[in-house]
Amino acid sequence: MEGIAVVLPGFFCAGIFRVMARFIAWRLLRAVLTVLCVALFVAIALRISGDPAVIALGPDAPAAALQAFRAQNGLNLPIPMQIARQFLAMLHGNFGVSMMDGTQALPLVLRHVIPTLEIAVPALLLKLALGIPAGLLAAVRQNSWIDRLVMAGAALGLAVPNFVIGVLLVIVFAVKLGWLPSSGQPSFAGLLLPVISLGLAGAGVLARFTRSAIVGVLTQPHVRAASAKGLSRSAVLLRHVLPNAVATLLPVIGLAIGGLLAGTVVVETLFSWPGLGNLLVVAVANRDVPVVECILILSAATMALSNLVMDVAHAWRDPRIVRGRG
Amino acid sequence: MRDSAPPLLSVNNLRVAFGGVERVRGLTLSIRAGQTLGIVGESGCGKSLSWLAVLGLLGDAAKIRGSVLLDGSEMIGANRQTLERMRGRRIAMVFQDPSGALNPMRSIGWQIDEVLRLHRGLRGAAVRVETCRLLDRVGIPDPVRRANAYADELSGGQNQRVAIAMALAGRPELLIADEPTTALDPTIQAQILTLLKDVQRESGMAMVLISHDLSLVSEMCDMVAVMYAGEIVELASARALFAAPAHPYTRALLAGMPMLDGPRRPMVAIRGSVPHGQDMPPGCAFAARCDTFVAACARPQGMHTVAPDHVALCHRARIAT
Repeated sequence: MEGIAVVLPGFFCAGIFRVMARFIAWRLLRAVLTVLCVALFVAIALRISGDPAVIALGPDAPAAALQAFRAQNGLNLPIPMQIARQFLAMLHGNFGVSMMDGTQALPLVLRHVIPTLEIAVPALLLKLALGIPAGLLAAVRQNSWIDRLVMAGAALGLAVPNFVIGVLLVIVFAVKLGWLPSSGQPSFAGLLLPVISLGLAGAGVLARFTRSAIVGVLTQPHVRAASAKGLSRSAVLLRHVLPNAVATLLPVIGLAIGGLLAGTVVVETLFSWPGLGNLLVVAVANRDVPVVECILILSAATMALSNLVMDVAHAWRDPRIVRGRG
Repeated sequence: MRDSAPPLLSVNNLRVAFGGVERVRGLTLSIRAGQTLGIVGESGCGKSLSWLAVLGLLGDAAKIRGSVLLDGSEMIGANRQTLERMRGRRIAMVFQDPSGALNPMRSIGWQIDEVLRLHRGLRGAAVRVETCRLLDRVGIPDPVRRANAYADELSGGQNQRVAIAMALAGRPELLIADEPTTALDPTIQAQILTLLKDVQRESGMAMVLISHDLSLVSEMCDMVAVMYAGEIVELASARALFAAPAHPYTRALLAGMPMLDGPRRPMVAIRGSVPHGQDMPPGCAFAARCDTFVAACARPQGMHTVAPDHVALCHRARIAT
C-alpha cells in the first residue's frame, strides 16, 4: 500500500504519506469485502431460485440426463460446497463454463464488455458535459428563468425512464424520419440513439446534484470572505466555489462511472445492442449461473473500484477526509 | 484627532432592508485615517450588517439606500469592478466566525498568498516569504510549516489570527474587525490588539471595531457608536461615552458590564427585547425597555448634542448629563 501512496502527487510530508497509505489500504479492504459480499449473495440467490438443469434441458428431460448435467456442472454438491469450490476457482480466474454454449464464462463476458463500453462511455461523457455546466449555470443564476428551465429539464430527465426516452427517440428518428437505425448497428449512426437515451436521463440527475452542491457552497461564509478579499466574481467561483463543490460531486460522478457496465441493461435490450446487458438478460433467463455471476461480480468490482478511486481523489482534494480516519 | 482632516469614510443615512423590513435604519458616521471607531450594541442591532452593506457583500436580497463615501467617491450603487478594486485593498474585513471564513479546502498560506498576489503584486517566492512574515506577526508559531496547514487543523484562535493576517495582507486603509478577539485567550488577545495598534501607528490604518466587549472598546477606540435596533443611539468619544453616557440604553449597557475594580454590585440585565419590523414604535425604539420613559418618548426622536463630539438619540439627553 505504501507504494501506491508514494506516487500520489500533492503530498510533500511523510506523515501525510503514511496516513494516506493507511486510508487507501482501508478503502481497498472495504472494496474487496463489498465485491465478496455481492459474489456470495449472487451465488446463493442463483442457486435457490430455480434449477439450472431443468431450465437448460427442459422440463421433460429424463432424470438421468438431469443428473448427468448436474454432475458435469458441479450442481450435485450441497450449496455451501458448491460456493466454496466456485470461490476457490474464481481466485484462479476461472469463473466456470457457460451452461448455454459450453465455453469459458470469463472470456465470453469480456467479449461483451467492449460493445457496452461503446455506448456507456460516450453516454457518461454526455452526462458530464451536459449535466455539470447546466447545474453550474442554474446555481449561479439562481431563481432565474435559466434555473427554472434547467431544473424542469432535469426533473423530466429524472422522471422519464431511459427506455421511454429511447422508445420516443426510435419512433421519431428511426420510424418516422428514418434518419437513424433503430437497433443493433455497431456504427456511429447506430450508437447515437442508445447513447442519447442513456445520457439524457443521467444528465438530469447530475445537473440537480451539481446545482445543489454549488448552491450549498455559495452559502458557506468563506465564499463571502473570498469576495471581501477583493476577488472578482469569476475568481471566487473558479478558485473557491467550484473546488469545494467538486468535492461533494465526486461520489456522484463515481457512481456514474461505477455504473458504466451495469447501467445499460434496459437500453441494450431496447436497441438489441450486443453488449453485457443483453448477455445478462439471456443468461438470467437460462439460469446460466457462471455467466450471471461473472457479469455481476465484474459490475460490482467496477463500482467498488470507481468508488475507491473517487474516495482517494476526494481525500486528495480535501485532506480533512484522511485526517478524520487517521 | 483633528476635526479639520477630511474623513476617510463617511456614511450618511445608510439603510438596509430585507423584504421590506428595515434592519439598518439610517446610519450616519464618519471615520478619519488612523482613527478607531467602536461599534457596540446587542446582537441583531445591525452592527455587522451595516458594514457588510458598506462593502456590498449582502447580495441581491438586500435593499440598500443612503450614501457611503470613501475618500469622496460613492460606494453605494457603484459597479462591481469598482467595489472589487476597493475590497481587501482599501477596506478589509475580519469576519466574526474566523474558522468559517477560511476556505476548508485550501491551505491557510494559499489563502494569504492569494491576497498578496491580488493587492500587493508580489510574485514567485516573495509571496510565501511575506505570508510567513504576516503569520509570524499575528503570532502563529512555526509559520513556514503552518502555512501548509488547513483551517480545521488549527484552533479557533489561530484561525482568527490567520483571518487578521489575511486582512492586513492587502495593507488596507480601513480595517473592519467584527469581534476580532472573541476566540482568543487573554494573552493572545493583548498581543493581537498591540499588533493592530502598531499597524495603525505605522500605516495610519483606520479601524472599525465591532464588539460586545465594552472594556476592549474603551481601551482601543477613539470614538464609540452605540447601536440599537438598526440605528445609532449615541456617538461620542470613548472617554466621554464611558464617563458620562447620555442615552438610557448606553447607561443600561454599561450597568450590565461587570467591573473588576469598582464596588461589587449586582449585574443588571436589560428587560424585554429589541423591537423588530412591524413592532418598531414610531418614537424611541428603546422606549418600551426604558426606566425613564415619559410621554414625549413616544414621538419620533432626533439627535441631541450633549457636548462637542457627543450626540445621543434621546430628548432627555441634555437633562441626563
